[in-house]
Amino acid sequence: MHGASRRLAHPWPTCATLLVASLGVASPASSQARHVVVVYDERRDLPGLSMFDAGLVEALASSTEAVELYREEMDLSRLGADEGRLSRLRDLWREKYRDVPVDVVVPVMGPAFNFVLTHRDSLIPDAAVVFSGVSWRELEGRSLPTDATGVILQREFAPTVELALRLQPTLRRVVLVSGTSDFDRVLAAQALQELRAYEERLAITHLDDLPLSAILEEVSRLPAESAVFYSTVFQDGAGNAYVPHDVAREIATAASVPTYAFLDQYLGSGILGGHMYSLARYGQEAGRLVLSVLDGAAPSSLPVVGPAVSETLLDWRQVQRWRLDPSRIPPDAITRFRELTFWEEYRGWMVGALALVTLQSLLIAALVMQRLRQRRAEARLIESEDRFTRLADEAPVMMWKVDTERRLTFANRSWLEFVGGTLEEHEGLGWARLVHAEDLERVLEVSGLAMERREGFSFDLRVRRHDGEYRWLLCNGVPRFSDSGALLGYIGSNIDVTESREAEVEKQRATTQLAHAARVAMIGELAASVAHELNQPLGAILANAEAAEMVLDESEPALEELRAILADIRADNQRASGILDPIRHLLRKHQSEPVRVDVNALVEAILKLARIEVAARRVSLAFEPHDALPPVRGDRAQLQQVVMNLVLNGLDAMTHSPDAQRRLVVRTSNGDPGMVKISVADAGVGVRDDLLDTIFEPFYTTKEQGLGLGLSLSRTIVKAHRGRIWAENNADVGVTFHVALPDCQEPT
Amino acid sequence: MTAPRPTVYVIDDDLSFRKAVSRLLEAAGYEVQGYSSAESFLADAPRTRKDTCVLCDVRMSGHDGIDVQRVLRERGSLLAVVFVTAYSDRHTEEQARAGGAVDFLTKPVGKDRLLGAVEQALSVAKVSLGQDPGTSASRGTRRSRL
Repeated sequence: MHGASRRLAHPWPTCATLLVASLGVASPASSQARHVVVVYDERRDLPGLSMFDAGLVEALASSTEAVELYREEMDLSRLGADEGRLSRLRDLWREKYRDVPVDVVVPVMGPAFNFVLTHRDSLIPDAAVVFSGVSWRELEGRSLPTDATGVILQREFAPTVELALRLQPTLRRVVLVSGTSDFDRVLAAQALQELRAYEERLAITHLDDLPLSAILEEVSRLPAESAVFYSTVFQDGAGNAYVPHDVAREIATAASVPTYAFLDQYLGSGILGGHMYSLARYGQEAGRLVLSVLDGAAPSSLPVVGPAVSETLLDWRQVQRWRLDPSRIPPDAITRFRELTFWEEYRGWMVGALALVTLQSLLIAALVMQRLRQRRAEARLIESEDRFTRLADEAPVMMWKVDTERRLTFANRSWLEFVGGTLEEHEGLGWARLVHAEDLERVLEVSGLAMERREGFSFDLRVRRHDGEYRWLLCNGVPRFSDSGALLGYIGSNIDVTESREAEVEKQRATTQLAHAARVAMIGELAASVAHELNQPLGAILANAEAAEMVLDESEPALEELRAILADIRADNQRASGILDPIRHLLRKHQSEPVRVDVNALVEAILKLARIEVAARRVSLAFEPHDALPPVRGDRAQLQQVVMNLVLNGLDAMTHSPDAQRRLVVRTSNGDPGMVKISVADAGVGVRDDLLDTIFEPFYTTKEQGLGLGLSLSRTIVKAHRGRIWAENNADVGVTFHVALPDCQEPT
Repeated sequence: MTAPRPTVYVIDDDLSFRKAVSRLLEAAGYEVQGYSSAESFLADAPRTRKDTCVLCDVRMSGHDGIDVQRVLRERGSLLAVVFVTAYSDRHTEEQARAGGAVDFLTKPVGKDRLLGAVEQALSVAKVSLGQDPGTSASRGTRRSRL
């Protein structure tokens, strides 16, 4: 490489005079400023070029003089490279820069370099040229003008092959993905040439002349011992224009194996890494050369800058994604996106925190000791009723004491303020008058039972407040014993929980409403297929009715025929009704009482309703019911909703699966004692392991049209049935959702 | 005796619709041969006669109506096809019409529309057959009506 650079650098004679001449021209722009025109082959907002631009600007910013920077874009991929357009572009720019004393032109990438060299005499004849992003290959066999220098772009593909072989020791196949624009082809040709050196060890496949969608499909099905090499796709085989950076992301996401690339800007978009060059560094290097030229150095005295060193870069998240052995990472590789372990990141904090905790523990120990001593002293006073009353009165909750006959012997100030009146009025069994009639029996029963067992109790009850309103109180009581162990009575507290209870009831009501709304929405989804299904019996009914009319028009109507027709019409009517039955169930707002539900029948009804949708999506559906399944108890509509939701989710998950793979299996079982399990297994895209719980969170969705409520609602419903819902990835492909519900084995 | 009555081959996997539409067609004076699948119809391969046509469901288990149309075309058959389906979608309809379907009806279909389409199919068959005298008479294997 070095030799080549010399060969090019030497034959250029000094030509600073040209530069000086250009400086004398008066300009409408700031006459003090120096003028630099950058010509990009593509549009500058492409990620690679914008990084180049940033590097260039960064380097030029260190100039002591004011530099006016102009940018031009050839936009070749989008607008084409025909001669007519390019010469119009040249005329436009000539006009634009006619009165601007341009010092340096910076063509970026090969096509821009060719354009500038071809047209410079009629374009900006006096400016020096500092090119960048041009490879040796593109310079070969052409004579550089004396006032030109630049930064050679070195693209190397072989080191990335070495990297892949090292990280994936079992690698057998490399799939090169590239595009069909001129640039794409040049790059791919070079990559292929370097890859051929490995042909003995690796099968090389080249995907270029395909629509992007087909490429994505291909890379998603690669066997484990492969790797994807991505060069660039400005244009795919179908002629669609793309931003290569975006394609990198799509390829890396779709690929079933690691994706490697050659440009550092792709790192972070899902590719594993590669031996990469950085366009930002090329920008900086070009900027430095421009500065030297502006400082008065003759371009010919500035050697063409050799390749900015490429680096081996890896994305740590991808190393983990593909479960690669970190010990195989080359020592000179730079690993980005590595999250430090908690300890690495917070070592300082943790040492501090540990010290603090130790200190705190010591303090707490000291306080506990002190408090123990205090408690011992106080124990002697605790039986003083006077002291207890004083403490209790200050307490913000209602407190009370009853004796073994449940007669009230003490009530604190909060208690008296709540019910109104004095202790004397409520002493004895007077408190019972304050309890809501519907709750009294239960209160007496629960507290009586607790007293027999000498245990504490806790229940909700409604108590009339001083203003006549009944409030829900949470009543807790603990037994008191004498030294000899005899029960003395209970001491306890009451807390007003009316508001939270109302909130709870409101929440339940809202859930019920939401569940119903979701069912209605679900039926909306199914409406089209159900309507079609109804057309079958309706079609037969109409044809039969009209046939009957024609039979009646005959001179001797065949009565037997008419009877048969009417019987068929009735049968089709029942069939139509049967189609609508599951929908009617789902639409029912709620059932007041839980009922016994035969899970197999419930699942079957849902699958019948979903059958058309299943067929329309070309999915094969299997139901594997467990023979002796005990019933469960619950709200039939809500349970159907859960199953339907899982079935529809399964169908959605397989939208992009190949036809042969589309299979939905619904199973019932009772593996765990006392539980009935419904499992819905799809063969779809699966769920990332770390998201298997998250998918049940409200508003979490991967569907474009989904609200993200289906699974969350299902969980709410299943929980209300004291059941459990969870998901696990299948060993081969797809996800299985399980719902386990407690059975209700009753001797009825 | 008058000439044999025109025959309609009814292919539909829905028994009750096949039965009902056969009744209607017979009451209107046609012979009807019913088939419960594309396969059974194609296996029977009734030869094209001057006064025959096909009334075919689109979505059936196994081969569908579009397949029937394609196979007939491949065999050089000139049988005119009328589709009648419970699941109309534009794509299938375009496909059917592009394949030369005489009409594409949606269940439930009224008598006038149905009989009109059948008449049209029979007249198409007559015109086409005028140019194709090579077809022989029916093999005479008559299947049961349903």
